[in-house]
Amino acid sequence: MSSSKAIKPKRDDTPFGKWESMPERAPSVEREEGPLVARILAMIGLFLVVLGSLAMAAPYWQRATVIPPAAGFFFATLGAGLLLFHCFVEREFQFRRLYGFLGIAMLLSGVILRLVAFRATTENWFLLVGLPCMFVGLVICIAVARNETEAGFREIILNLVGALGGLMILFAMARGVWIRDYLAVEGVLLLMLGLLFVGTYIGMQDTASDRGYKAALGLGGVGVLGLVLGIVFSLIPANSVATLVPWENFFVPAGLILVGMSILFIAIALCVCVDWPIVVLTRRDLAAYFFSPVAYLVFMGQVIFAWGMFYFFLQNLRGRGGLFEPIIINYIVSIIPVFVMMFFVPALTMRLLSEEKRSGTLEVLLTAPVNEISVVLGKFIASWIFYMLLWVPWWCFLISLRYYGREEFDYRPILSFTVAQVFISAGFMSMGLFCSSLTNNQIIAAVFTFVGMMAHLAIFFIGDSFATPGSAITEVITYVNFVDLWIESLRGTLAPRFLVFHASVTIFFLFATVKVLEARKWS
Amino acid sequence: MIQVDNLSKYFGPIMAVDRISFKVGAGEIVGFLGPNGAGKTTTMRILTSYLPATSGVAKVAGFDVMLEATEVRRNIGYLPESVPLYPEMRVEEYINFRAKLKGMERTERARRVGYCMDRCRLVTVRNRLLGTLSKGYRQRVGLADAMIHSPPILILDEPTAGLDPLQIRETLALIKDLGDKHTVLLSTHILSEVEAVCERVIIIANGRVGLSQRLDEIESESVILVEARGPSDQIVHSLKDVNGVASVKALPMDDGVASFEVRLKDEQADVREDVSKAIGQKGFPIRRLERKRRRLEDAFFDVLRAQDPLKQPMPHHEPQKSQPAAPPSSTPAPGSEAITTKE
Repeated sequence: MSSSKAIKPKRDDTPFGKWESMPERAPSVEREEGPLVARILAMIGLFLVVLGSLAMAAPYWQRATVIPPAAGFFFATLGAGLLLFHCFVEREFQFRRLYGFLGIAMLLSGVILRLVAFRATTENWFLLVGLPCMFVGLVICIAVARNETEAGFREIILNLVGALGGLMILFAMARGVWIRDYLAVEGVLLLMLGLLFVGTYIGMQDTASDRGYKAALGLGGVGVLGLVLGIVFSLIPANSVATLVPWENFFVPAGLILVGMSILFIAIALCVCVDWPIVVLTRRDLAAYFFSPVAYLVFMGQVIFAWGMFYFFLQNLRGRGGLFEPIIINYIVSIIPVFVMMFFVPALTMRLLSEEKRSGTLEVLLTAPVNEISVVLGKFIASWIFYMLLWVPWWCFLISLRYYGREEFDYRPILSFTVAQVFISAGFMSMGLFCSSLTNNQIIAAVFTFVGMMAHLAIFFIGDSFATPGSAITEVITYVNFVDLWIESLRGTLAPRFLVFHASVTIFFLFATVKVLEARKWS
Repeated sequence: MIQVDNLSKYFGPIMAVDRISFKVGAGEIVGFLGPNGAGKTTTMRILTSYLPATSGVAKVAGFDVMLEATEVRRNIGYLPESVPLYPEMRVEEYINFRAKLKGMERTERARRVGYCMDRCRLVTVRNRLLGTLSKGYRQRVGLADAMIHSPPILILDEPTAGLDPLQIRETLALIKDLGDKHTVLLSTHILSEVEAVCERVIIIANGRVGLSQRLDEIESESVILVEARGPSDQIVHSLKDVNGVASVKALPMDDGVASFEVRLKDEQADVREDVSKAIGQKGFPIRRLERKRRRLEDAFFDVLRAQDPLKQPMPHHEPQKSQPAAPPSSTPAPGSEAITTKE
């Protein structure tokens, strides 16, 4: 029956049954951009570097220059920045190779300077020249490896970076438990730089390759080793097993730095190797900070601010003619850091959930097999880590104090202050996250958070001005205000009972945030 | 694989979905149709456990969407309507991130990410920022994300919206391909796409399921169109006497010519010759006698009309619309010409 056949076409006769794919094309043609501007900038940069270097070197040749050495340093830094920009943009083969070999040369000269530094006369060279040299070399190598089209050369650079990173970490650890005072100055910098090197190696690997994963495992292994060494040497008294433990009071500062850095290594290794939803989400949110200008603005603000505070601190030191323990109370304590924090907390947390709500990505996120708790915790931990990173510039300035002051100072207030900051910021970050979850407008979230911060501060001022000493209100206010805890911890005293309030604030707000996310399900 | 029972959803006083029930079997490709605001996206959101239902039960892959949300999420790949993406991430990075989030093994992940990017034709844009991609590319990224962990069930909300004609073909071919191993529920407004890839359609309107039928069943239904010169009621009478006729609908007269739509008890039977004989006996000249296959489009408009509370009591007010051959809004789909066989 022809008619009924016509009425029931077979489903395979549809036009897509025999569809043949066409080759894929990019949506738009990419035009090679001539790096003309970058080349002009590079020329200026090169001129500035030469000028600055000559100005800096002039005093060694007993010559007077128009440009003082300090300005020379400034010029050289500016010029190096311009050259680095060119290095990132330039794709032409000859320039690329030139920069590639320059990068390798800088890395190797860092190694040579380190070897030279074993001689007493040239001790300082590595710290003053070698470390910055290696850092700049690393940046150049990253730029070259990014633009490199030849797999072989890229491989050489990356392997060199990875190997050097591993060497730096192992060397710093070994020497750190061997020589007293090493970890407090050069060691910690070397550990950080080594971490940057290894991180670059891991980050620049192909996603399909296994080497990044293995390198991260190695980093974790070294971290475990460092952790064990640090704890064992700190716990065992030096007298009992004299041969094993290098010196007394290992814990401060060597053990502390070793343990801290080891925990950092392990955390990073875990971050790379583990794919738990919380870890994956934390990683993404932390990375998202660095993709937005807010993070850089906040970081820059913090560095400039820390530099200013350090400058006044040094003036203060000079005026009084010496160190007064605990010294960091003179460095950090002041109402200004507290006010700065008032602005940083909303800036860091306002985006977290409100942006996901506004753009609708929350729907994508919550239809993947993750629950609300991991989403909230991931964001919370990311902002928390970022906040704690903001304190790194402050401590870096202290390293220079230790180096130029050539005198030990009490490190323990740093520890107590850091612990106090961990708790205080956890409370604030969770509050900001909660405010962010309430709205899909970042500004409103920021305003809410700011009001919350003001409320925290208001508690302190109320306690300061109205409450009578010894009364119940004063008692309560000492427990719930963060400024007192801040100051106390800078003095080196840290009572766990004052942390309880902040811990419970954290838990309360995290719980509330999870409930807000779940509330879309209550109709 | 998907089982929905009496599902309702109210947003406050607004009813979005009203006691709908349907089933999707394993390996089926089901088109989910309906006008704007019919409740398609809401239903899909409930199925993906993003929104809760006000009442009723929905089970996906055997798991309750309310009580076992995580298991449900593990078993579905979801492409939301507007494909929200993180603008600061890059294509490959994003797909990798999603693969990790969906708990894929490291070794398998790299292979699978490459495969999905290839299938969704994303290889040339792998390093571009998601924020700079055009609508079509965002759509492809969303599709790659939905299929990355090879879930048994794919829920795609307008997967072809915003694509160019070539890409529509590619995507539909891909979906058809996926239908071999996966259960696919896709919503769209373009009926020809549904006809091309789906095996079954569910049409909802005003929050209710208007039709849930296999596509070949819809298309095997047929009506006979008759135009004859003569008094309408008499012709109706004689048509009703023909053996196998279920109902006769009189369409308005035009220039003394009455037209009718004859529905049959048995859709497969061909009674044109009997009809011709019956009318011929009365002496009315026949101008048109045509057997017409029902198309998806007709079914769609029938559902709309049936669900519309305003139009329901007066079906003859818009006569053009009730003629299946002349749907109101769109140009005739290719292949919709009537089958006129003069045997």
